[in-house]
Amino acid sequence: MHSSELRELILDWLDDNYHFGDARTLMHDDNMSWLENGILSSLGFVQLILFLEDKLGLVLDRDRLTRENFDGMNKILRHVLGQKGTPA
Amino acid sequence: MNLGSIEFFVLFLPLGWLAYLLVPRTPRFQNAVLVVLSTIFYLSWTPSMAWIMALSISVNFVAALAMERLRTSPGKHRAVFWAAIVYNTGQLVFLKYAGFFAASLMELMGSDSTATRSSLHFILPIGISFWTLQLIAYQIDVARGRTAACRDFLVFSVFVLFFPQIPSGPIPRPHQLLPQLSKSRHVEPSWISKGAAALLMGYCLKFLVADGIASVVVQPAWADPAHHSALSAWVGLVGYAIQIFGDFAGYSLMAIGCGRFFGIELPQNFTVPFFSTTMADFWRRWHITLNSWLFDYLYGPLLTTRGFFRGRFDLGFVVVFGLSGLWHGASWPFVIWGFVHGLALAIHRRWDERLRRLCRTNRVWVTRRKSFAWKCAAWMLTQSFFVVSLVPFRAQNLDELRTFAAALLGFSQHGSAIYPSGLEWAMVIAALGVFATYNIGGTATGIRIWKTFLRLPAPVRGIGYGLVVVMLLILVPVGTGNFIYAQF
Repeated sequence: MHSSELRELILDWLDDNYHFGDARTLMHDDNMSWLENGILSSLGFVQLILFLEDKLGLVLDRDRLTRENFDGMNKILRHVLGQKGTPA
Repeated sequence: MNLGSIEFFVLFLPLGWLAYLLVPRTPRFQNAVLVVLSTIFYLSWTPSMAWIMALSISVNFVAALAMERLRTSPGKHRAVFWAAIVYNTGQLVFLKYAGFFAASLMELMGSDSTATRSSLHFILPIGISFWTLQLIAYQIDVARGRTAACRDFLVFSVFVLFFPQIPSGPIPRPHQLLPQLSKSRHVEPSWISKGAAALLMGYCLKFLVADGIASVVVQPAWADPAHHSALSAWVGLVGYAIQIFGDFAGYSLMAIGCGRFFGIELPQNFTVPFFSTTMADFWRRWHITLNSWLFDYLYGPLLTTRGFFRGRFDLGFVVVFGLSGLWHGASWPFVIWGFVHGLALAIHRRWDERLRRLCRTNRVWVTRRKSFAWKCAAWMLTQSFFVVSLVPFRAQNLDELRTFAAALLGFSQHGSAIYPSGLEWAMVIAALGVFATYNIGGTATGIRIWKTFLRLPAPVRGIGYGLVVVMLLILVPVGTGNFIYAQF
């Protein structure tokens, strides 16, 4: 899967579940922290992990799945795309 | 000796700090001073249980190193990891809960549990509930390769023992504290200034807000709830919410302030929780280091496994908060308190899901959800729930819980009111003033005012701090008051 496709998939999920059409406006920087900027709560992160695992059919690497490694669009993209088994 | 005692402020902290500043500025010397200071501090609490702490530090230090060495042998690596987890958890469970579980089992079978309860009642090593979680986090992080095992026993000892955090946290993560301890610390004037400000605010929250409110309204209302009016009971309950906040947030700030004097930054534990508009938001602002620990090491992993709990958000809340209740104390009211909060989070999550479904279909709901009136109602509901939930938290046993709940509902036998004296009113007004100042400090305006204050010349700031100290000396009997969370 290409980085831009995954980004759109995540933004759609954010729109559907938390920001209802405002996700793209709120996300002015792919490096910003989602926790600090109120984009997603820690519970939301768990929901996003489950969504990505179910949608992409993979198991994300728990060892590296920390707040520091998953808090922000670029970090998520890096984590998911660097994962073994991510659909090409 | 606790962080608020006279001997701590007059002797321990100044002399300890002086020693820290006088030794060569290398990690080895600085950590050696901190180990000595922390050991003295620890021994002043529960000297007979010091060996448990010493053993815990040694076992965890060796286990993490062994795990790192055995990374290429997954079976052995896993065995050492689980041995360390069982050791830490087993020690806490045995010392803190053996009596409670055994007595509860005997009561369930209709037997007298008094003898069992007293024979299995141990003196708890101070802060065991806090440093056990810190050590478990360390083992998990090392096992998962998130943190390298600490190779310096001195550094590791300070990581666990550092005296400001030992009685009641904050619970630092390995990545927050170990790197700071591994390098030399230069205590900059700005750190001292920030440390003094945190220490002073913490002292005010503890001794003016928590202890002031406790003596005037909380203790009278809780001492004999059956003889108080419903209004007095409610005042006592709201007072307790302010007391427990002042007590614990005050302690946390004092710990953070002390840490800064030694060039060490401990994690924040509170960010204006009384501004929260949902319970989930509340737990992100109250006792942050415990709740983020529960989320990162229990809730998150439990819900994202391939097992039974996967995606069962509500069940996860109830289980994790049930355990959080038990962590706070080995008694049924604490367990009830935890379950009630788990249930509240589950109900809120369901409600929020329904609301989000409405938002998806009709944007009117998005606008409503963001409106001021909506936020006010959400704030009112959240804060009211938190205050009422403190009844089982404060009650010593199920009888006291029932009696106080009856008083709140107006079923008490007599119904007398609490009448504070003139000086007590002054105390309450000062307490509410400090409480309001802390909360205003959490707003954008408050942060601006605080930054402006910090830019003032040092003598002006000194006068400001001096005025606060004078107010404390007038209103607070120095060296009184224990911390509520130290008993957990």
